Amino acid sequence: MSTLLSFARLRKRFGERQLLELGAFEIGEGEAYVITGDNGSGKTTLLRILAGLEPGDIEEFRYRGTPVTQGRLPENARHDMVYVHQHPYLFHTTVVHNVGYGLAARGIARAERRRQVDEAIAWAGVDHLRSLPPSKLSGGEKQRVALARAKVLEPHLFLLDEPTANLDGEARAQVIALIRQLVQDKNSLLIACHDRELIELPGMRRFHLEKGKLISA
Amino acid sequence: MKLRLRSGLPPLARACLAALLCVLAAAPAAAVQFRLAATHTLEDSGLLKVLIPAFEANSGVKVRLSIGGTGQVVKLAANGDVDAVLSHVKTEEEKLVSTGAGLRRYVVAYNDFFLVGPAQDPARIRGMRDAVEAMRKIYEAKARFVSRGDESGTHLKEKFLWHSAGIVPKWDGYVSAGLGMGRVLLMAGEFRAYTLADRATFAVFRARTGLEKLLAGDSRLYNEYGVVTVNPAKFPGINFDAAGQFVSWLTSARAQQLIAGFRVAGEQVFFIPAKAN
Amino acid sequence: MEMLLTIRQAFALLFSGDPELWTTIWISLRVSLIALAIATPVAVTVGYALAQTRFPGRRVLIVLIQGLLSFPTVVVGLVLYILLTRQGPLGSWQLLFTQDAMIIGQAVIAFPVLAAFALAAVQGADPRAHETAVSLGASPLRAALTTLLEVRFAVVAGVFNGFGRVISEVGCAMMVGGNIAGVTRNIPTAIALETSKGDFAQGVALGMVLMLFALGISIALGLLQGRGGLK
Repeated sequence: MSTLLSFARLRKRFGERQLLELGAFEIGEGEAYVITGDNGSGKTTLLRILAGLEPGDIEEFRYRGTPVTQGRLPENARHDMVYVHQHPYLFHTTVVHNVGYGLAARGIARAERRRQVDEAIAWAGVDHLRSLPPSKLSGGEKQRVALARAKVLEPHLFLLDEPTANLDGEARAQVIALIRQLVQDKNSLLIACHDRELIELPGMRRFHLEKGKLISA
Repeated sequence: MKLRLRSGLPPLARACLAALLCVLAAAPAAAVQFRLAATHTLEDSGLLKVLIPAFEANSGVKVRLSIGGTGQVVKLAANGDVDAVLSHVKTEEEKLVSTGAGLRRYVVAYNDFFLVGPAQDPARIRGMRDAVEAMRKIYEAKARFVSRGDESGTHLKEKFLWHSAGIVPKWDGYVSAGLGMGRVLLMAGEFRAYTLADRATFAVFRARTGLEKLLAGDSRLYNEYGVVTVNPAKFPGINFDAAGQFVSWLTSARAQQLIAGFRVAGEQVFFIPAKAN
Repeated sequence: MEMLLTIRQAFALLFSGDPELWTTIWISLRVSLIALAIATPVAVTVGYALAQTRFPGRRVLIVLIQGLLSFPTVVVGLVLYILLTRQGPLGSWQLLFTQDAMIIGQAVIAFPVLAAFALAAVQGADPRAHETAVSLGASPLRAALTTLLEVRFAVVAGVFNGFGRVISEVGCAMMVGGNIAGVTRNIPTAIALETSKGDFAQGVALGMVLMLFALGISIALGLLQGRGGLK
């Protein structure tokens, strides 16, 4: 297993409090991990720091073998990973436009973009929603669109923040099914969550965050 | 918790209300008010700044002055919104009297118009005596000309000259600016254009514009200032007494001296009529 | 009943297709729309930058822009006049008493309104919007445009407000335009002229056109609010 991402130390202050104080950390290529921990334990913050959305104090940060010196991942590395919010934000356009957004940002031509978008929409099972504005989607549907939007970019790392929070029944099952697919297809995932079923997915490894420290389970 | 009803307003509010009522009651008890309307030309020259305070000091009457374009001030008089009006368009003033809105017209002063323009004088009108011919030369040279374009006394004089020349003024260089005399002079200065200006306003603005007096003295350029008192029979509430006082003062020797003695850049710009009204 | 007569005359003028009147309306629209077209991209960029970035003097700039919101337009006109007059620093450009001068004046007047609205709009944007864009690989420029699109209703409301401010302003237009018939005479300066001539029918007709514009803006803003974006 080759290392996807590693650091020797990560610290994050939150006002007076030291929120995170992590020691050596490593995730492997093609592996899936959940990070569990109580609310307020810093799971979300950890993901956001790795995604480059928040500053953090990181020592000996390496991404796919390359050392990261500025404490933030360089541009191209950040485009290699996609962070999905706990309540995903969909642009006020259409589902198709949302899923194709990252491809358009990469400059992929329209025809090719359409093909890939259709594939991702089919994968997520949201084809019947394709022309709808996001305001008309349920929480579960938004989550699936967000996953399709991320998957279409074939990132090296998925950072998912509580993907099944506030979902139950059918919606939750559908999202879990998609994540299971991602795990089976050997994508690298880092998922912050409480969800029993996700934690117990075959192949899923686990970290536990408590009092600012990470324990591998 | 029991609701306590207050009887009347709290003391501070009562005091404020009383003070406000006192102020409002006191206002109308000011000095006698006289509403006068006058055209821009008289204001721009600075003459009114001399005449009005002199009249107020002499009579104890407070003047409320409204300045506007000729059409506007004449309309104020026609509607009885002012007690008297000062302008320089004899036909409009006489119309006020003939329609019964005005009681009587008096001549106040006179001066004249100049044709002014750039020093280079592309139309070659410098020193000419015939204003109408000069306008024709300006037209033929297609030189730049700025018109008041606002139906003011100056504009009406300009239109009269074109009409006498048999010309409809419409060419690329002819600009119709809806502005007062001072602003038109400034514009003519910017454009290095010709324009028609009264002696007084030109004296005030000449230095700023770089324009020169090119033609004067044609009798058709005569410009007369008149005052019309508004008819109290038609409009009850007109302060006819004050208007009467104003007119007597304006036509008195004292005021006439002030008018004739008024100087702009050392020059006399208003002249008093030879005989009394 | 002079009032009723005036209003009737005004309607007659409007519908008679009086060329002078419609030229005035056209000039008003042309000048204001071009001024907005020039000012909007700059102002929105400034508003966005003020909302999203931190730099020394940022607060001062925000206070300045908000202070300029109700700055007297005639002072803008005066400053511009001094710059553009023959003896002035930009006199050689010969812009005084042209539509271009009016356009510059109106662009300057509209700028603080547009920037302030854009600033408020972006500040009110969901922070996840920008984060999502960046996370999906958008360049800073693309992410900025995406964020602005997400708050487009609030930004457009600013444009309408800016339009309202310049379409009816008279102080600056009069000073730098000169109210020249067929060239720099727009609706507000024409109203001033007609009023000074005592010709109220024309003034009322033009005033009604302005009111129609104001009403149109009001309705458009109302529709925008209905469609969300402003709460």
